[in-house]
Amino acid sequence: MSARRPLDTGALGGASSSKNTTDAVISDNAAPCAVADEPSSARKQPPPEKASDVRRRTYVIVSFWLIVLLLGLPIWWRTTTIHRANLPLDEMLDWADGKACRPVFPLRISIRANSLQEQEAQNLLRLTQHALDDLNDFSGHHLRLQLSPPAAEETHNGDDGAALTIRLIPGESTTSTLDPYAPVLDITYPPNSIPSPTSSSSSLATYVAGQLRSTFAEEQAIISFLLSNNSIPSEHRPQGLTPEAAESLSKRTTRSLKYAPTYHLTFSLFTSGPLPSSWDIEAAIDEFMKPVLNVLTPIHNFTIDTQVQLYASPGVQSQILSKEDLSSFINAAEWPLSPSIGGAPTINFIVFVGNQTILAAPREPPKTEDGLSTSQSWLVPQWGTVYLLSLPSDTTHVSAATLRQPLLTFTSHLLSLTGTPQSGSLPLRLSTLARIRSADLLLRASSTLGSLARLALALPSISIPGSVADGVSKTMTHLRLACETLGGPEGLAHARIAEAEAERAFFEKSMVGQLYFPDEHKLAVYLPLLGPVGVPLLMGLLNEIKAWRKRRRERAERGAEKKKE
Amino acid sequence: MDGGKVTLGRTAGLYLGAAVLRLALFTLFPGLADLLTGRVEISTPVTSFKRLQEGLFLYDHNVSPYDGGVYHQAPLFLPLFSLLPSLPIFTYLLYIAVDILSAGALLKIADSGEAGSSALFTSPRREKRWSGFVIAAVFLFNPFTIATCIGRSTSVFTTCAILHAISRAVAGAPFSAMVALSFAAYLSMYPLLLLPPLLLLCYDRQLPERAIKPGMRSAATNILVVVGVLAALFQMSYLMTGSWEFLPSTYGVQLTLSDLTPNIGLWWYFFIEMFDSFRSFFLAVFWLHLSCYVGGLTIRLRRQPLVVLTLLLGIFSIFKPYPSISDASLFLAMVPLYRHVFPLMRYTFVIAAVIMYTTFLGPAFYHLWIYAGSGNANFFYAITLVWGLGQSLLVCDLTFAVLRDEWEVERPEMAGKDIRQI
Amino acid sequence: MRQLLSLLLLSLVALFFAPRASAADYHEQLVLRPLPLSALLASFNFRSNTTLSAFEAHNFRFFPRSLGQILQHAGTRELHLRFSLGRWDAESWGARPWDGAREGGTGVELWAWLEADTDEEADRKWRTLTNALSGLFCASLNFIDGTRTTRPVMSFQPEGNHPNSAMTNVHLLYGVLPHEVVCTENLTPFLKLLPCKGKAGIATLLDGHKLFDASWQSMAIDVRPVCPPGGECVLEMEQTIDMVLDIERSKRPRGNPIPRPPPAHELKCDTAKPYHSGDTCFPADYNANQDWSLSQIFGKTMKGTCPLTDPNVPPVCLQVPNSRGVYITEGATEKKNLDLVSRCYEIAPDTPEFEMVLPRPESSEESGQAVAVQEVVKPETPLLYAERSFTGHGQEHGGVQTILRNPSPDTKVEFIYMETLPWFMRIYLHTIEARIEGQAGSSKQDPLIQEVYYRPAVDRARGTQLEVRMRIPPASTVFLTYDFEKSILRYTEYPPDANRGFDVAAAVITILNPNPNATSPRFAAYNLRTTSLLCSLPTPDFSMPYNVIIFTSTAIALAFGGMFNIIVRRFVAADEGPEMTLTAIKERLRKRFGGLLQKYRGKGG
Repeated sequence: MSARRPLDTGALGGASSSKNTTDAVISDNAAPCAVADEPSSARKQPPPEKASDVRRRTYVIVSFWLIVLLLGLPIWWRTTTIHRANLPLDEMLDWADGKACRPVFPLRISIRANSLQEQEAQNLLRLTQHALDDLNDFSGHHLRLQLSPPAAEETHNGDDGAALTIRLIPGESTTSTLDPYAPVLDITYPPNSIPSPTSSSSSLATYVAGQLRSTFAEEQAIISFLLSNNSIPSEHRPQGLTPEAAESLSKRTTRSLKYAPTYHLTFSLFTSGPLPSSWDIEAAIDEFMKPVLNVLTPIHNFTIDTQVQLYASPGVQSQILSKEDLSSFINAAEWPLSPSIGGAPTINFIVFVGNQTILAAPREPPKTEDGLSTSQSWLVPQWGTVYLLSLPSDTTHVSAATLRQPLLTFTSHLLSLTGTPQSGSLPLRLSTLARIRSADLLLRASSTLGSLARLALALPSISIPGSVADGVSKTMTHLRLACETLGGPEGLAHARIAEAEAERAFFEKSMVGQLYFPDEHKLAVYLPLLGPVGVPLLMGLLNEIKAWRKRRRERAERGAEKKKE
Repeated sequence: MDGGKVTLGRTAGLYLGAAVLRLALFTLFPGLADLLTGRVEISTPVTSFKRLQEGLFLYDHNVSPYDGGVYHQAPLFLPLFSLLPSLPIFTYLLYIAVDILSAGALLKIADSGEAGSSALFTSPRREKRWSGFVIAAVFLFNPFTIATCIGRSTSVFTTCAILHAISRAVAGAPFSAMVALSFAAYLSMYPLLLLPPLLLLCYDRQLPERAIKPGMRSAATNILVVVGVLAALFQMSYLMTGSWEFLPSTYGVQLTLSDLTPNIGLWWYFFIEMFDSFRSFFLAVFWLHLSCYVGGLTIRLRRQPLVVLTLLLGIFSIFKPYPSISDASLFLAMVPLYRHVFPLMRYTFVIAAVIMYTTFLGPAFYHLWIYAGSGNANFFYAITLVWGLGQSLLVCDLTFAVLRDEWEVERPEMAGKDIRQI
Repeated sequence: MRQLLSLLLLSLVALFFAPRASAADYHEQLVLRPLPLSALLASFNFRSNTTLSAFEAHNFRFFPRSLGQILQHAGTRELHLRFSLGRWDAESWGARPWDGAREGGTGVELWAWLEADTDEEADRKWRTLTNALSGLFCASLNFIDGTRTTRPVMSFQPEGNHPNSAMTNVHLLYGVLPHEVVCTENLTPFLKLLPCKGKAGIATLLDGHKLFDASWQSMAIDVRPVCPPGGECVLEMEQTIDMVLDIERSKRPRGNPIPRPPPAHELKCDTAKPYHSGDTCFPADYNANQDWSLSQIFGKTMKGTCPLTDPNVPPVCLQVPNSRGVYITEGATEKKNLDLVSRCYEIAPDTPEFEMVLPRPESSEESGQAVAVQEVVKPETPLLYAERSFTGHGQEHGGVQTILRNPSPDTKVEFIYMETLPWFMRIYLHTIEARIEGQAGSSKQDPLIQEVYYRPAVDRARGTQLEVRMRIPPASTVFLTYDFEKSILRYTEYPPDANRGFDVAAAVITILNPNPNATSPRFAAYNLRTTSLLCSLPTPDFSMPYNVIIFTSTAIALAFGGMFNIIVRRFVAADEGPEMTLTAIKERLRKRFGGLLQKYRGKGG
C-alpha cells in the first residue's frame, strides 16, 4: 500500500489514508473480542461430560502410554544400543605416553677380586662406581657394581642374576679380556695400581669403568634409540645419541624382524635346472645350526621345514648380479615361498644352485660392518637370506659338507635378523638381546594400547565387546609386572604376554565388522512409523493433561465459593 | 433366542448342505485341494497343510520335524494326524467337521443375543438382528471359509477353538471357555491376547444361580486355568517330541519372522526390505502395535466385551505376522452379529468394494509376479496394502458404529443427527 | 649263483642311490584316447609320494611344501579337491575316465577327513583348510561356510589305508561351490605343485587357453596315506587333469577362429543316407577329424621328459586300435600293448621335443561306419546313465526329476544318490517318489529306494543333505522325483545378479562295488555327477527399501490413528463445541496474528 502511495492524486490519497486509520482503529480494539465471542454465540455448548466417561478416557490413554513406556522404550533401548565395554582409556593413554612406566634397566655387575683385602676392594668399588656415574648420561640404563663374596669361587660366571662378572687378577699390566663362553670380564692389573683408601681417584677404577662402558655401549645405544623412537617424555629421554649412530641403529632395527616368540625357518634348495634334486639338509642343520638355535631357545622357539624346487628361474637372468639386481633376484611370482600359515613369521634361507655371482663393486668399501653381504650371499631385510651355490652341473645330490658354508652364513644372518647386537661375546649378546626385546615389546604393547584408546574415542558408535576389555586389562597387568621386572627373564615373559594380548584386543573382529549408521538414516527409518503413530498419542496425552488442569482449577474455585458461603 | 428350538431342522439342513458342498468340492475336483493348499493367501508357513504333511512324514520316520526349516506348527498336530487313517477322505471329513463345529459355536453366540444386549448395556436397536441360522450360514458359505477348508489350512482349528471359547463364555461356563482359549493359544499363540475381554465376558455372563464371585477372584481362577492348561499342553508336547526345540521353531518363527514367504499381511515385504540392524527393533514394534489395542478397547468398551473380541479378531487378521484369509473369514463371521449397528456405519460401500477388488486382483497380481514374470513384487505388495487398509477401515467403522450406538443411549435425541468427535 | 650276483648288483645300486630317495617317488603319464564325434580325451596323471616320516619332519622334496603345510596345520588325513567344467556326454563318449573317481561336479568340490575330537573343532579346522586352500588355488573356497558344508554318511569312504585307531576321531566334511567358474588362475598354482613345474615332461602340454576351451575338463587333487604291504607308509599325492578336446575346434587356425562352413568338396557326407545326393549331404561324424597331432590340439609340442619321473612308467600312451599307424619323433620308441587297443611311448631323456601325428586313416573317405569301428576304440558303456532337471514353472513351487538308466541287460546296479541343496530350496521329502518307467510305483518286495538319510535344512544355518541308497533292476529306467518350495530371502541375501538364479550343486552318484576284493578294493565301483542346476527364486524390488518402509508404516499409522481417535475422543453433535471448519480456523489465525498485522499496517499508514 505504501508503495502505491506516490501514484495517487491528493484526494484519493487522503481518502485511502483515512480508510487505513479507521480500520486500523477498529482492528486495534474491537477485533479480538469480536473474534472471541462470535462463534460461541452461534454454537451451543455440549452437555457436561459424565465423570465416568472422563475417567474412562483417562484409563484408555494411560493404557496406551503404559505400553509405550514400559515395553516400547526398554525394547528400543535393548535393540538399538551398541554394546561398549568401558575401557580404562586414561590409563591406556598414560601407558602410550610412557607416563605409567619409566623403563630402567638396573644391571648388577659383580666384581670378584679375591686377591684384594675387603676394604681395598670396597674402596676400588666405590671409586669405579663414581667413575661410572660420571661417565653415564642415560638414567634409564645404569650399572650397579657389587662385590661378590670370595666364597663363590668355583661358579665363576655371574650367577645370582648379575649381568656381568669382573675378575680382577693381579698381573704386570692392565689388560682386559672378555670370556667368549660366559659373561665374564677378566681384568689384570699391576699391583701398584691399587688405590689407597684415601685417594679420591684411581687409574684402575677409571679403566674398569671405561671397559664396562664400552662393553655395554651398544646395548645402551640400542635401548636409548628405542626409547627415543617412542613417545617417551623427554626427561626420560637419553641424550647424546649421535645422528649417525642413530642412523645405523635404525638401519639395523629395520633389518631385524618384528619380535615373535616363535620363528618359522624355511630352508629351500632352488635349482635352475633339473639337478640337483635332493640334499642332506637335516644333517647339515643338526651339525651347523642347532647349537645357535639351542642357545636362542630362552628367547625364541624355532620350527623348521625344508623344500627342493627344480626349474626355478630367478627374477634376474644375468650371470653377474649387481647390487640392484639382488633386490629383484627372488622370483616371488614363481617360487613357492608362501609364508607359514601357523601365524609365526617365516625366515627364508635359500640355497640357489646356479652359476650366478655377485659383482663386488670395487669403489664402495666392502660391507664389513657385519659381513651381511659377501660375494655369494646377501641378506634380505626382515625376510631371509639367499646363498648362491655353484656346483658342477651333474651333481644330483648336495652333501652336508657342501652345505657347511651356506649354513654358517645363515646362522650369522639369523642372529642379525633376530636383532642380536654385534659386539661382545655370545652369552653377553644374548642377555643383551633379551633386555632389548623386552624393552621393545613393552613399548610396542603400550603404543598399541594407546592407539586402541584413541580408536575407541574417535568412533563413538563402534561396539567394544567384553573380550577387548579383559584383553586390555590383562595387557596392563602384565605390562605393570614387566615394568617392575625389566631386564630380567620374567620381564621378557610378561612383556611377551602383554604384547600378544594387546594385539589380540586391537584386532578384534567384531569391532571391525560394526557398521555405522548416520543419524539422518536412522531418522528416515524411524520417522515414517513412529511419527504418525506418536502424534495422536501425544495430542491425546496433552489434551488429557489440559483437561485435568482445568478440572482441578474448577474444583479449587468451587471450593473457594463454598468457603465464601 | 427361541429361534434355536424352532429351526432345529433348518440348522441340521444347513450343516448338511455345507458338508455336502465341501465334500463335493473335495471329491469332484481332486486337484482343487492341492491347488488351494499351494496358495499363499490360504496357507501360510505356520498353517500350511503341505508343511504339516512333511512334518508328519519326518515324525513317522523318527526325524525331529523341528530340526528343520519347514514345519512350524504345534506338536500335537502330529499324533492327531498320524492316528488318522491314511485315506485322504478322513482328512476331508475332519476339516468339514471342524468347520461345522465352529458354525455351531457361532450359532450359539448369535442366539444368546449378547451382541445386542450385554449385562451392562442394552442397545436400543437390538431388535433388528439376524438369527443364528443366518449368521452360521454366512459363515459356512463364505467363500473364504470354504477356501480355507478345502485348502486344509490348520488355522481352522484355531478358529474353532476361539469360537468355542467365546460361546462357552457366553453360555456362562468360564472353565471350558478358558480351556478352549488355551487350546487356541497353544495352536497359534496370538489368541492369548483375547484373554482380558474374554475374562470380562465370562464375568458378565456368570449364571445367576451361581453365587456371583467378586471380579478379581474369578479372573484369578480363570487365569490360573489358562496357565495350567497351557503348561499341561507344553508338557505333553515335550514328552512327545522329546525336547523343547519345538518352542523356537513354532512360536519363535512367529516372533522373529524368519520365514519370509509372501502372504496377505503387511509384515513379509517390510522385513524383506528392512535393514538388518533395525530388524529386531521393528519386529518388537510390530508386535507391540498388535497388542496395544487390547487394553484400550477393553477399557473403552467395558460394557460390551463381545464387541472387543470381535474388533480384536479384526485387528489380528490385519496385523498378524502370518495372516491368511481364514483369519479374515473368522472376523467376517463375527461382524454380522452387529447387524443392528450396520445403519450407523459410514463406509459400507467403500469397504465392500475394496474387499471385492483385492479378492479378485490379489491372485491375479501374484500370478503376474511369480508365474508370468511380467510384474514384480510390488504388484502383490500393493494389493496386500489395499487389503489391509480396507479391513482396518471396516474395523474402525464398526468401532465407530458401536460407540455411537452406546452414545445414543445417553443422548437419545441425537439419533439420526450427524455428529462429530472432539 | 646268478641270483646272488643280481642281489649283489641290486645292493650296489641301492648303495649308489642311497642318498636319493627311490625313483618311484614320482611318475607322470599322459593317456590320449580318441572318442567318437571328433573328440579326444587327454588324461594327465602326476603322482608324487613322500614318506610319512619325512612329511612329519617337514622335509618336502616332491610333495609341495605349500600344500603340505596346509594339511599339517588343518590336521587333514585325506584330501580330495576337484575343479570341473563342462559336461561329460556319456551317451556318445561312454564310461568316464578313472571310473569317475577323479572328477567332480561343475565348479569346485572339496571333501576331506579331518582329525578332531569334537564337531566344533572339526568345523574350525575345516574353516582353516578352506581358507588356506582358497589362497593357494586362487579359488573362492573360503565361501564354503556352514550352509554349504555337509557330513556325508553313506557316499564317501576313505581311499587311503588309515590305521583303525586313527579313524576313530576323524570327521568327513564335504563342501561344494557350484557357482565357481574354473579358469586359468586355478591351473597355474596347480602346475606349481608339480616337481617339474610346467617346464618339462607332459605338463608342458598344459595350457590355459586349450584346457578351459575343452568341452569337458576336470582337475583333481587327491592326497591319501598309502601303506604298501611290508613297506613304509607314504603320503601319496595324485594330481589328475582330464579334458575332452573337440579336435575340430582345436585344429581351427588361431588366425581366424570363427567357424565357417567348409566348402562343398571338403564335406564328408554319410552316403548311407537314402537322401544323399549331389546337393544334400548328411555330415558323417564318425570318421571326421580323426587325424591330428599333439602340436595341433595342444598348441605346442612336449618339451622332453621330467628327469625325476619313474623310468618304468611310459610318459605317453595312446589308445587307438593297433591297426592305425602313428608317426612319432625319433628318440621315442613305441610299445604296443597286448590288448591291441593301446600303445605306449618311451622317450629318451635327452629328447628335446616329442611330437606325435595321427594320419587320416586310409580308405576312410567312403562310407564311415564300417571303418569307424577300427579307427577309434569303441567306448565301453557306463554302469549307469543319470540326468537331472527341474520340473514345474514359476518361482514359487518346483520339483526335481532325476532320470536314472541302467543299461546292462542282466545285472542290477546299487548306488547312493546324494544331493546337497541350499537352504532356500525347501524340499518336501514326503513327496519323494521313485518309479520305473512303464510301471505305476515301485514293487513292494524289492523297493527301488533301499535307504534314505535326510538332514533337513535350517534357515540361514545349514543346507539340506539327502542321501538315497537305490537299487535299479537291469535294463530299466527309473524316475526319482520330489517337490520343493522356493523361499524368498531378505534383500541383502541376494547376489548382485539375483535374477540369474542360484546354482544348485550336482548330485553325486556312487555306485557300490558289489564285492570289494584285492583286485578292486575301492568301495565305489563307479562315480558320476549330474550337471548342476540353476534355480531362480522370487526377487523383491531391490530399489525399494525406503518406499516399503514408508508405505507400510503409513498403512499401520492410519489404522492406529483412526482407532485411537475413535475410542479416545468424545462424541458431540455436529453443531456443538468449538467449531472445526475453515472459517473457524481463519478466525483463530486472525485472533492470533491479527494484532501483528495491524501493527504492521499501522506502521504503513
